[in-house]
Amino acid sequence: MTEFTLEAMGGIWAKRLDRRRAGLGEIDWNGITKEASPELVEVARLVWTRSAFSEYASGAAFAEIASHLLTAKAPIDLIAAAGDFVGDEMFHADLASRVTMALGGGVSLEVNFEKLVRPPQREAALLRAAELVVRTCCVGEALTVPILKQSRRSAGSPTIEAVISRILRDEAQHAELGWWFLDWAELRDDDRLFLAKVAGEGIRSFTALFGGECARNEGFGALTCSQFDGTFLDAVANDVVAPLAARGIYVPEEDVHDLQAAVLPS
Amino acid sequence: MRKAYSILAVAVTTSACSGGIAPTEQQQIAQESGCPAQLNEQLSYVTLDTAIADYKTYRPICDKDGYPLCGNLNGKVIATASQFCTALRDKNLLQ
Repeated sequence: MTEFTLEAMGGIWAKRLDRRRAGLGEIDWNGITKEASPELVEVARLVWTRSAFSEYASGAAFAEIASHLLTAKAPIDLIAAAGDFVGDEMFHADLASRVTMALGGGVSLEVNFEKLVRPPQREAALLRAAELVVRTCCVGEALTVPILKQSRRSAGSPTIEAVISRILRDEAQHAELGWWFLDWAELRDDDRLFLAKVAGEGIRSFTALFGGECARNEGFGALTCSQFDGTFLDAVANDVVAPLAARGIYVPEEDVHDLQAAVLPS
Repeated sequence: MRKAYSILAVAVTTSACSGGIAPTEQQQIAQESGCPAQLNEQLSYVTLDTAIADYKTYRPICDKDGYPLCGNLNGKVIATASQFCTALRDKNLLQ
């Protein structure tokens, strides 16, 4: 395990990333801490440090997806998009880092850089790509979009709103790639059965989120449990389970049920 | 050899329960990243206006593009590396 920190090279490489920065030139990074109470700043430092890591890990997932799409001889514009999404995620990691540093610096987070992406289980190239796409795009990214929208609504800071809006601009496409891939791939019934299991495990993996402590205050990217939980469950039903079912991939009910039980314990 | 610069560092804090990293480890990270750690600590005791007025002293905290080489010192912070370097960029004082 390694403490999570990030570095950049600068020069011409920073300029490449800067092309994605359109519309962000007016952000007053130094004004961020003036917009929140010290207590909220502490919570936000945690939220944005985790967010920087999450974006970094998503970048690793899209790098894997791009590689597997190449092997599966997927349409070249889908492959190019997946490669491009690595750049998007690094830019998001940069944005989250800037917010974190403006809030006073990151919190200590131990991560394993060698295990950022769970390797696909199956042998066939198409199914390996599909497994990664379902887990990352159809579950992970699809759930990110509504949560980010909710975070933006209750941000309480023009700076944070601008940052979340910029991230959201990319994330919707990141989820969309999954649906386009599934509509292209010629899958068999047993492939769909396997992918349903993959999606179910992906949904179930979020159960761990709901055992922890709730944020007392909303804003700056932090959501209270009441806001997060309802948004998340709606997103699972409407943005993951339903569109997968429309493609013949039926997420096992027990996976969704167990998540609901974790969110709303009786 | 080219050196990358830090864009996300763990905050160093004087609070005992903050989850910050120990000073020796902090100094080692700071040295590896090209951060003048003592100067960065000195910066944390002055106001931003004072730091800008004396910007030549604190200039080594920022790289040539005006980005901080050091993490922000947190806890007794008055001026932080990121605030200072941003101010240098904004005021065109990088030289």
